[in-house]
Amino acid sequence: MADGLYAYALTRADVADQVATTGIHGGRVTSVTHEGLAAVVSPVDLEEFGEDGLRRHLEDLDWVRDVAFAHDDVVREVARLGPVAPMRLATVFFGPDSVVERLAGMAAELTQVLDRVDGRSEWSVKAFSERDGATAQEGEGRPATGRDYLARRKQQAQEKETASERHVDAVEALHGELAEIALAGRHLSAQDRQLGGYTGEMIMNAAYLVGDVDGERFRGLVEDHEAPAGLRFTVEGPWPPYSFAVLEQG
Amino acid sequence: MQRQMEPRSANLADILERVLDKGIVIAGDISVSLVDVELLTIRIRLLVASVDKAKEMGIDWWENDPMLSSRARREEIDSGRADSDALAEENAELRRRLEELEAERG
Repeated sequence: MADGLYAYALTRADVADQVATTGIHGGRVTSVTHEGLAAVVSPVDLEEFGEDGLRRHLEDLDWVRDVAFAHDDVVREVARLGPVAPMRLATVFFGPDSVVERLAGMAAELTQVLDRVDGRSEWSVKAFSERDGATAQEGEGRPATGRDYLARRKQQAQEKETASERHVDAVEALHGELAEIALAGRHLSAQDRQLGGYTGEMIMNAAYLVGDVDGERFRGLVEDHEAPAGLRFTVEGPWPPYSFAVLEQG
Repeated sequence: MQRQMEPRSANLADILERVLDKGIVIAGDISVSLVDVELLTIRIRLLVASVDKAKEMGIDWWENDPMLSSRARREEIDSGRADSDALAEENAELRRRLEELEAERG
């Protein structure tokens, strides 16, 4: 069947010219340019990526995962070379003319987006809350009376609430510090525990846009930040700016 | 201008919540939007969103005033507590619907 063009990212034409890599199913990555802007693309089979094919495959998580990885690999390669506006998954064109038309229609906004992420990357900061270790219950004998039992339960509930507030305060404090360095921030939904591979409760899932020159200082702020008992922070990056190169059109 | 990018995150949730829900959205020639695919939509919503205090928010640009957003964040966290019940309910409804759809597919 005929080939379509799968679009991974938008960038400047001179950046796209330097990209030399392969994409989905090893297809050669090239670019379609228009007036200094470019879409980074590779050929895909329209049987697999046409309307019927996509509907079918998008219901298959294994397929989605493999395409997502190939997609992200190309995006990261562009990010290495210059400012990048990563595409959302599965944007497919019949040919270069359609791509040029789309680029022409969004040139001003895209230029603005690329200027905004130029020399900057996305960093992910998360916080995981586990219940504090020993509670009042451990090391004590059985409650002598019903009243003792209720008093102890009340105390445990209060301790849990205090610990929970302590954790939220710590997240707030770290966020305030990071906001001083970062140019922008965004909170994402908490991740499913199994998919995200973590224990405890994810009480912070934040993305920050940070200048490349400030990256290591940003990482240090998170790693050096003192967390209260039962709370742990993680920091990852630099990543391409998916969460900040945002544009929606037709 | 070349720079180092961190290798791909080992965490599938990190990749999926970005490539499926963020990034540039423009109309391709193939008109399947990810929202149309009900099974995937439900699965992904279950996979990347769980009942929790953290909430989805728009982007804050702090190039001029970082302290603005720190205050807003406190309000967000406080109102997030109230929303977690609504999220629990939505989660249960999504799981019920997913079972229904999978039973239909047979």
